[in-house]
Amino acid sequence: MSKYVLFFKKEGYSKYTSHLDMQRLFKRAFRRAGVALSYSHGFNPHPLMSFAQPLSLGYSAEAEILEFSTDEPYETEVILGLLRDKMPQGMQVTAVLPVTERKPLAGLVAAADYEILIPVPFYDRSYDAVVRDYLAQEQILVMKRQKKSKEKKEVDIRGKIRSMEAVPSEGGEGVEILKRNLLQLNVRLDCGSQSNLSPELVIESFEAFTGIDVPRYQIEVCRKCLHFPEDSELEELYGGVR
Amino acid sequence: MEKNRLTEKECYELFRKYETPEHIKQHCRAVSDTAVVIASQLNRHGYNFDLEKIRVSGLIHDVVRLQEPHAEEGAKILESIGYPEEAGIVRGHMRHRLTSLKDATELDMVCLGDRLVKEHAYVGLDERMDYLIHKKGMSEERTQSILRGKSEIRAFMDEVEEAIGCTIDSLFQPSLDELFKQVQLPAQYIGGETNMVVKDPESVGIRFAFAFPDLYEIGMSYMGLQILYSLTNSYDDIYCERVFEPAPDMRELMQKHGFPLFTLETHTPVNQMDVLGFTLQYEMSFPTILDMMSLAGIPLKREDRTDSDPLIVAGGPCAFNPEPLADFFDLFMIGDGEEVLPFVLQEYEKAKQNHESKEDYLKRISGVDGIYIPQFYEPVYNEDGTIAEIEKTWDGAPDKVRKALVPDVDKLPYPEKPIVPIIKTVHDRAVVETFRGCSRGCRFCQAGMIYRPVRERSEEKILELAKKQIENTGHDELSILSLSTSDYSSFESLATRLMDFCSAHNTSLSLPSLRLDSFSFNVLNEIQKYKKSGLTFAVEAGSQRLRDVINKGITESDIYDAVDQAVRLGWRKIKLYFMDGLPTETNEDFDGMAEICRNIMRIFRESGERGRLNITVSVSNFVPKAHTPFQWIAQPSTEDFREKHIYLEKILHIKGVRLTYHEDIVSTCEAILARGDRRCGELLLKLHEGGCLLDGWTEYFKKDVWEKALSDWWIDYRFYTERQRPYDEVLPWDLIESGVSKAYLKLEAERAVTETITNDCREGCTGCGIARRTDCPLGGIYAGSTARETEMK
Repeated sequence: MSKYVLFFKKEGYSKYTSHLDMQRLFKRAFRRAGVALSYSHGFNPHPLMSFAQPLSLGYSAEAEILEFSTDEPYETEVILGLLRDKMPQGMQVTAVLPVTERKPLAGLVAAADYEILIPVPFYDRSYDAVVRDYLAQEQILVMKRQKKSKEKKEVDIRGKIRSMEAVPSEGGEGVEILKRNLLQLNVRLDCGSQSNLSPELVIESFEAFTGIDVPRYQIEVCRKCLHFPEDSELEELYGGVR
Repeated sequence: MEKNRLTEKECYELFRKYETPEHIKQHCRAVSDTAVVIASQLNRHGYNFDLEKIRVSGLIHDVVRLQEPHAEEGAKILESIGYPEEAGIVRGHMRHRLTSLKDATELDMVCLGDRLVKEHAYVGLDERMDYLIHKKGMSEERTQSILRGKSEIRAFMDEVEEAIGCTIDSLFQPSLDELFKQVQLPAQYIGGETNMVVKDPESVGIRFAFAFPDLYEIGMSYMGLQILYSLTNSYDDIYCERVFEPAPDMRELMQKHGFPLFTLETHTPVNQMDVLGFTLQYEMSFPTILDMMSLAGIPLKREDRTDSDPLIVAGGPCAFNPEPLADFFDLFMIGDGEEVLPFVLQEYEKAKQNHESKEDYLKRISGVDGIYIPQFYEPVYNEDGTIAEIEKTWDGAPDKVRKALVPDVDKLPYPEKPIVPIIKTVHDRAVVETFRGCSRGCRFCQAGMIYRPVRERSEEKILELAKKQIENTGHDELSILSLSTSDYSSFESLATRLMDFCSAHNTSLSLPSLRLDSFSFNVLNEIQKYKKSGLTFAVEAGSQRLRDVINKGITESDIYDAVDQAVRLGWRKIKLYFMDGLPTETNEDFDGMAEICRNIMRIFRESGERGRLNITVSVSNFVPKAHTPFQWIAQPSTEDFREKHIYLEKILHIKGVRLTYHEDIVSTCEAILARGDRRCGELLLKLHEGGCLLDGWTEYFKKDVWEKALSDWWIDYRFYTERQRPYDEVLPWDLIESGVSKAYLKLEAERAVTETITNDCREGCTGCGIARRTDCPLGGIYAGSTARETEMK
């Protein structure tokens, strides 16, 4: 059995494709391409294909990872060529690489970089200082819905924010001509099964901290990349794609 | 030399220095944005405004808003730091008068922005001026002066709108992206699916919006859409784009922001398309059609539209009685769409090129098979509400409209690359149509009458299409489409080959509405090896007598034999379809349903098989349809249906049997529209005003609105539902010829009363009349009723 990782982008409106739809979509893409995936054994066989990390609905992404296995070996260039065409608009397969790692990637992801675009003028305040103050808090408390009980509970997210910086940016969907000067936050957060932090909680607490009152639907989030443990094979592979 | 220009960064430094409050900064940004958007639109239309100058001047214009005279004070500050041009704009922004666009400068743009923004958001002129007028302490004199100012600004805006070709308001709608972020399942609005057709709208001759009056998940499950989409898009000069009714959450946002209904392919507002075509699949979608037109900003009634509005057309089974929709449409296409739709579109393209009026265009194409143009006819009513005659309003209109008919479906193009939906739809699979038409002659069935004659696609073609669709879509399920799967002439061979193909391609095969003989069992057992879904029997009526009335050729022993085999092969779910409200029906016929259920249960017990058998009995309320032998008969009242349901609940209270049935009033509503006349347009308008849409969905059906509309209507709706029509009555759809003769329908109606069955026309021509229109592939020769009678006995 051969195992591969595939890197893809989600741009434009394709960011509104849900995780479940992504699974069906890639399954079909492989079938169209004629790439025969390996199947799990058991009563209800399913193709061996999974995403390193699910991506929230509405987030665009620059280098998401899908891992898959085939019974027969393929040339990665061939797979790339077969898959590249006929993807839905905005979804772009950028690379396919073989891996030797046998463990599921979902368990190896450690962190993720996000770009959060908030339509407030960057020059309005000294956002460098604002971010410094935000991070200087001993605790950053947010209300988080618990997975099992569905009840909201206060949690401290400070320890899961690895880094954060404010940079001036231009743009925003649909306002090209305005060339707005915007606040862009680049953040690196814990991600994966060990420790995970959703950017939603960062946005919420940052807005509360700064008093910025921008409706959520005007804020854009893009996942730039995932991080694996240093010196791991994936981190090395990723290096070439990132 | 490059001018020294104030920068955005400096603006914010000035805000800090002069401690400009937050709300004023926000106002400044909004004015700057508004002015820049308008000016950039003008620049696209040949003007040459300095956008940067507008941007920063707008941003800084109220920097010292609280120090009066703030315009003068602001200007002085800018002058003192070396920005005289920006200072000029700030100085003028309060007193400057907008006169003419010809002489307009950046100052005019900033002022216009300032007049359209309230606090921190664009609100448009009316709201902004209302706000000023209703401010506290306004004198009458001041109000008058504001109104004079307003008309001056309005005149200026008219000039701007003329120049940019759209309203200023429309420039400030929220972005689609902003809407998508606020709704459930946004992927249904984005388009961009695999195999979506991409064309440059500028380079085509005609833009056609194909509208399905229901949600995406329903419309995208409908193969007819895929057929006509790929067919029309195969013409270089036509661009067909899809449009669906938005789900209520999206619809509400669109309405709130005046966001027009748009196509999925290019997100173009539907009212900018040349032609808007609706598919009429079920009567309960009619109010949704009106909703979609109104979301698109298109006047509903034909008489209120002009030549610059899109041409509004429709097709599909309900077009066989289009009269309830006659006031809203320019033309209807009756019958097979594959030839008539491209014809209608391409002729309209010519009309566009030649600046021909809509009316002249319609006159030019009238008379072509399959084209019905309602404005050329006017029904005249008798005092009792029946139709006396259908008068022509233009002598050139044809006396009758024959349905469009394609004799050879094997040669027809069929989608090889259907669009692959991103979200889960109701039917998410590859589908190949095996044949059109049906030979069985069930008397209640409209499809069985209007799609005659039976026309098959060849086995080779079906397999080729299946292969191409699977390759091009990646679907893992294949289904075939027809009115009666097993009636395909070489069904065993076809099924075997499809099974082989599917197992070689890891694809599951779905064969709907199989007749359960031993061959079918082998097939089903093979394709449902591990996952046995339910087995479905369309029994339709509980007694042999009533099945003879409706000419449904299934016997109880057919069912019992099949059940006996099925339970032994491992099936544990049986679904039985019945109708209630059929002509001549009594409670005894219902007792027959219970009897069938008990017999099935007994067969299962006697088989000695393990487990538990579940029977679902699904009862639909019978709705008489146009162009069927039952087109004249009375439908039971809503109350009668309710009583029938109560009785059914009582007698089908059997262990292991589950009963489901439809809401009684929905069937009454459906029946009004199914056999309605042109006056039903009034009812549809009332329903539309009451907010009816997506009425086919139980959760969206507005029962109270329907009830009120029906009780307020000057016509007693029972005229359409509960009235038995005499055979010689002029029916609203008499103008339309399905190819099946009225004499045949009448004969069939009479045979129903005498409980006489009519054979499947594969066993001998039954003389329906279609052979007079075309070569009936079943060898039918119109021989008149006598010949048929002889054959029957």
